[in-house]
Amino acid sequence: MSDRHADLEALSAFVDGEAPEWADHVAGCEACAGSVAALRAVARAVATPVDVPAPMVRERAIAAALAGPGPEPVANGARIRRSSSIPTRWLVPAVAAMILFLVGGAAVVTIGGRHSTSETATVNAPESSAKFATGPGAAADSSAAGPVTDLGDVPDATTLAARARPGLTSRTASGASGAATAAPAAPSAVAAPVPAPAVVGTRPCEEQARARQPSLGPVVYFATARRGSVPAVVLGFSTGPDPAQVTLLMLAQDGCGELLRVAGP
Amino acid sequence: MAAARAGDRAALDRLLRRHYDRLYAVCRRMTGDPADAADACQEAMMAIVRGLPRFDGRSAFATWAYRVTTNACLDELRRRRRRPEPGLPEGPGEPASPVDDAEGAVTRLDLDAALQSLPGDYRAAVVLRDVSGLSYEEIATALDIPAGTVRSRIARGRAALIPLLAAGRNPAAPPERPTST
Repeated sequence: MSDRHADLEALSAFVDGEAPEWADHVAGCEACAGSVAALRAVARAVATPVDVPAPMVRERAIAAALAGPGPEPVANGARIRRSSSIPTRWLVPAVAAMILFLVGGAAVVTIGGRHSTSETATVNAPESSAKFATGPGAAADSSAAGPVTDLGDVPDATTLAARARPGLTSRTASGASGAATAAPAAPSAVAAPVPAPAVVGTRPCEEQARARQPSLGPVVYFATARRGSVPAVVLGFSTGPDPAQVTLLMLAQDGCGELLRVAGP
Repeated sequence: MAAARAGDRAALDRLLRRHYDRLYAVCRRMTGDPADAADACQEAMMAIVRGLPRFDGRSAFATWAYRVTTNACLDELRRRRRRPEPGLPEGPGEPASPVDDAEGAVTRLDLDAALQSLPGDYRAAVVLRDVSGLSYEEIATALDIPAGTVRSRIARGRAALIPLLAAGRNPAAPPERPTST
C-alpha cells in the first residue's frame, strides 16, 4: 500500500480519520502529505464558526415552530413542504411597508424609538363595531368582553400592518385625548368582517408577551386573527412616550408563541 | 425526548433551543447567507415539530434533525432561485465584521462563494462533516445515501474547494493533487 499514492477519496477520508490505513504512506510521501494538508485546510475553513444569529431570529423560529399546525405526517427525513411560516427576510420590508402605510395615511408607527412628527387627524377609514378600548384612559375597558375585530387570515407582516392600520389610525387620531375607543375597521382586503370569538376581550397572551419583552407599554390595540389554521390574537403595545409608537404582535392563541411582529424596538 | 414527542410544549421548546445553534450553523453554510439561513432554520424547526411524532429513534435525534435541516436548506435554495432578492438590507442577524477583521471577512466571503459553487448534495456532505462533525456513517443516514457516496462527495467537494479557497489567498499556488498509480 505504501508504494503507491492514495487517491483523493482515500486522502480525504484519511483527513477525517476514516482511513487510518494510509497513515504510513502519507507520512512518507511528500505529494500525498501535501494533498492532505490542502484538504485539511479546506476542512478547517469550512469549519470556521458562523456568527450567532440575533436572539430575535432564534426566538421567532422557535415560536413559529411551537405555534405551527402541530404534528403532521412527515416521512422520516422526507423533503419538507413549504409551510406557511413567514421568512425572516421579509420582515424588514414588511416593517418598511407598514411605515409607508401609516405615515402616508395619517398615523405614525416607529421603529426603535424614531418617530415622525407628522401625526394628523385626517382619518378616513370607516370604523367597525370593535370595542376594545385604547388610550390611556381606556384601560378599564380593556378586559370587557365584546365584539372585537377579526383580521382574518394574516399570512405576513405586511398584511398585518395593512389590516390593523384602520384601528391604529383611529387610535392615533383620537387616542391622545385618552377618550378614544379602538375601532379596528374591517380592512379592505377582507371581504367581510368575521365575527370575533367571544373568548377574546381579556387580552390573552399579554402577560406572556410582557414576560418576553418587559419594555412593552400598555396595550392600545387588540384584535383576533389567524394564520392559516392557527388562531391568533393581535396586540398593539405602545412602545414610547408618543402614543403613535406601536408595536404589533401577532401571537398564537395556543401557547402565545410569536407569529408576526411589526415595528417596535 | 419522550415528552417532546408527546407534544409537551415546554419539552419541545427545550429541545429546539438545545439544537438551534448547531442547526443554524448548517443552514448558514448551506445557504451562504444569514437571512436565508434564518428562514431555512425556521422551516427546519417547524418540520422537526411536525415530524417528531414519526421520528422512530433508529438514528440519533441530532442525525435526524440534521437531515430535516439539510432538506430545509435545499428547499430554501430552490426558492431563492425562483424569487427576486429584496432590496432592503437585512435587519437583525449577523453583525457586521469589525474593520480590523477585514481579512476574516474576505475569507468568509470567499468561503460562502466557494461553498455555493458546489452542487447542493456535495455541499451538504461537506458541511455535515466539517461543520457538524458527523461521521461518514451518520452523514449517510442523514442524507439517505450509501457511506461510499458520502466519502466520494466529501472528497470531490473538498477538491473543488481547494483551488477556490486557495485563489482567494494565493492565486498562484493551486495545490498539487496526486493520482492513484
